[in-house]
Amino acid sequence: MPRHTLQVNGRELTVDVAPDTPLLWVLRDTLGLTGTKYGCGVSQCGACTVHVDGEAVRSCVLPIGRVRGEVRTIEGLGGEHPLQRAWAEENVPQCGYCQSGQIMSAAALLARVERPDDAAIDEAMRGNLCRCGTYGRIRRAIRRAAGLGGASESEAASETEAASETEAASEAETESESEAGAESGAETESGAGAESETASGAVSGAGAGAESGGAR
Amino acid sequence: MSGGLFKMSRRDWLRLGLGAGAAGAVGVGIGFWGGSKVERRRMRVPPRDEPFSPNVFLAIDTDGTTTLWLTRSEMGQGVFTALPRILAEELEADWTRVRVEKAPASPAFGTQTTVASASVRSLYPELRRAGAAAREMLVTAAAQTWEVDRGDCRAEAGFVVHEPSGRRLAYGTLAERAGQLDVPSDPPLKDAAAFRYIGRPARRLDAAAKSDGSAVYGIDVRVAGMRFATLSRPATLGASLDSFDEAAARAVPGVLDVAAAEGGVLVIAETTWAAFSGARAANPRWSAGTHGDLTNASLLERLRSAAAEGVEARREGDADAALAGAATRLEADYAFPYLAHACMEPINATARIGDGECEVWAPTQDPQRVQQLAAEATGLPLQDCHVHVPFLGGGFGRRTVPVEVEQVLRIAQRTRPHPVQLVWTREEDVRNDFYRPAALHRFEVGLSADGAIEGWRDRIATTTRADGVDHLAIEGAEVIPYAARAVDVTWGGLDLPLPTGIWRSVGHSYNAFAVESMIDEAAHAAGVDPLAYRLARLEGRETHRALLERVRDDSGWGRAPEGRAKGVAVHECYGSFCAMVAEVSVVDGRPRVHRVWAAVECGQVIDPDGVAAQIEGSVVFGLSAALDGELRLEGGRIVTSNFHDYPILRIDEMPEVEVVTLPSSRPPSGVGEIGVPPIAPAVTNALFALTGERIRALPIRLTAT
Repeated sequence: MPRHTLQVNGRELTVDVAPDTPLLWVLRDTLGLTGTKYGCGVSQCGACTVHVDGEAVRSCVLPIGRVRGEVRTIEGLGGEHPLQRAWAEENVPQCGYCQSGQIMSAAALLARVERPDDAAIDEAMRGNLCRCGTYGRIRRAIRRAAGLGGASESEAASETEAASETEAASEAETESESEAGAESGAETESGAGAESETASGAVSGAGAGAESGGAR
Repeated sequence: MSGGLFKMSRRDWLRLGLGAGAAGAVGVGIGFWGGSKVERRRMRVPPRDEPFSPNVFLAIDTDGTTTLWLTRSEMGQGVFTALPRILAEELEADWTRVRVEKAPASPAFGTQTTVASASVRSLYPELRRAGAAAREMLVTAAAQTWEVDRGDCRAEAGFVVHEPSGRRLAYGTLAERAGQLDVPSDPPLKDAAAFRYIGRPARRLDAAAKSDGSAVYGIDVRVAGMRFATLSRPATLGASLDSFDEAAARAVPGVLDVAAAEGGVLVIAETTWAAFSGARAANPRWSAGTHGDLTNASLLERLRSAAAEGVEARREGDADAALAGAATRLEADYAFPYLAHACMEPINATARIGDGECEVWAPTQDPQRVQQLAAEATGLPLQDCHVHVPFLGGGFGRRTVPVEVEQVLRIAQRTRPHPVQLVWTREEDVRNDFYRPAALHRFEVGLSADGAIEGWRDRIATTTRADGVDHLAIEGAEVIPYAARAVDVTWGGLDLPLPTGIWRSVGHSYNAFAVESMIDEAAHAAGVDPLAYRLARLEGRETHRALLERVRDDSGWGRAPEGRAKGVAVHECYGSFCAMVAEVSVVDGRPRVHRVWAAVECGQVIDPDGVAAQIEGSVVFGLSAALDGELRLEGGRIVTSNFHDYPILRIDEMPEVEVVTLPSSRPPSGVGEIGVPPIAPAVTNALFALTGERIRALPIRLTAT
């Protein structure tokens, strides 16, 4: 099988896979970067969203042979990205499976638009499905990360009890955040977990991504 | 607790599935109290080193690290945080020193099944007692260490404090001594007024791992030497495999094995993608199938027949006479399609069959069933079948059915000694689900001249089977909260080859829609405001009343911005109650939900933000179904396949959701499902108020706009 050289999260890696293999499966099965998720395989759900040269793309329909540019995955976001902090502060994740993709779409948005309004957030994020329904919190977390405060425009107009309780939550306690792991004895074959610099270059809409797929 | 478990040796306990990286200590479900300290020490489970582990739920190490065992599956509903909060409350733990570990499958943990919004409500008393017992032992250990009166000592945030002297000892330094003490069988519980954690919002303990890609779901399990497998099965009901291109599948780079198996084609490969590609290359041909005439329309006809032949579920008074004598008589049918779960994490399971032991990694809602399946498949004793439960990328009831585990255990026999991960494609998931049943309600309702319900007849049919009445299928419609002089509820089952299962809120998901729509019809027929009508017809339902009044006041009921209208619904399930008002408009022929006001009564609230999150999520889950959810059948074939034709609500249609919880002195009840039933009828009742069109089938298809 042909060799492909990739820049992933600041490291240069060589993989031996068929050129039609989607980037998603190279990340997950060859490089052990399982933070990027398989959800639909046809660019409908956004769970597989990564950055290629700063642009949010759906890695499930991007053949490895067509990857041109530096790849960044959720593992390469560093863990202290303002969006990741905001995600924890707003208690965004429920099952959490879609959240890598959500955060990567949001990161591409904030790299392009410093202070997005609600319409810009919806436009950038509508390619990312969340079956648990965390959309309200995703909006709040993006606004928080952008320094706009948590409440959306309409919420700000009508402050609610639930929202103020949530705010109280954030101030009220310092929580340990290190215990989530405790995984079940499975080895993670981590290949490319290294950090990378902030995404550079122009970024296009997160909703874009490759569109080749098509249902089987 | 006496009997077998207390006679087991340490080695026995190791073999009971509490092996590597996974252990508890004493205990068995409800019987973990009791046993002398000698017995308990026998049952200590290496390799855990904590000197203090008084029950299956917790252990404290000498450095103060407090490990709490999560005995339910975390699938988004927040048990990874809520259950430890309960334990930490009574333990007086330092929350920053708490570690949560997911319990492996073992009968030692009592039930581990995650269903029916029951995790918090079923474990609340047990976890409180477990934490309180440990706290009392730590206090005793401190009093003994200081040689002081025990009554002068109290626990506080990971320390025992000696009040008169102000001396403090950390739990870690007390662990050894506490571990020597007997476990109190009836420890005093804290007064609710003294709660530090329960009732206050918490940061989710899994939020960080779920925001940096490090959280491991079933599909992320990677074991040295593992293979990847997938299946291709027919979308046509009753079809079987005629032929497939084995050579073509084997020619795909990375494909290791191809076979007719599991009702279709099995491909085993070096990577998931190679397996998927191999399955596509196999291009399976299927036989014609057995239900070629089945479509969504013919399904509805068959449900009508089944409804006509139903059996009695509930009868009060003489409905025939009541309906015959009613001033106003309403008839309406409400129809509901099959629905798929479509968990974001596609269906998967991983297994390794070794010599004399096996391991399964399954994102499951029923780990002990998985362990039993592993024992049956391998012939190994239960205790040699180690079952790990990673995070679940959604469950919603789908992951109570471990069919993929049965499959991967058979596949692992082929690949052994290599482990194997089975992943269904999204299309396989949508077409091989255990569906929310399709259902039909046929109402006849008679009203008196002043709008009172004289007769309430509801003939229900569902695509489920049961001996007698399928009570799960009619829950939420069998008993209604509104006063009626005569009631006649029947149920008829329809046997079709689409397997059905439980789907977030189960029968309530459609029955609440039928009842809350029909009562709205009655209100309009009586010429009474629908919220006021409900309040007037409630009979001894003070919680319903309080919730309806709350959403009436919060939402500004009776007013709406131009072009919008409000609708209301209320429902009770899983011990909890939820009322909702939805404010809607119609944009380009499609309903648009702008705002939702929800009021919830769920007993003692563990975490108000956690409750809010579940209600917000339930609104999206219920709205997705109401707006677009439908499994489409054509010519006996499931044509729905992926998110393009089974759409889930997207962020641009997310309403603002306000959630309030009413104070309650009851113990906690469920919140994971309670928000699903009321949202759809609240929306369609609002649409009626706005357009005059009564929506009597889901998903919503507006004709007049």
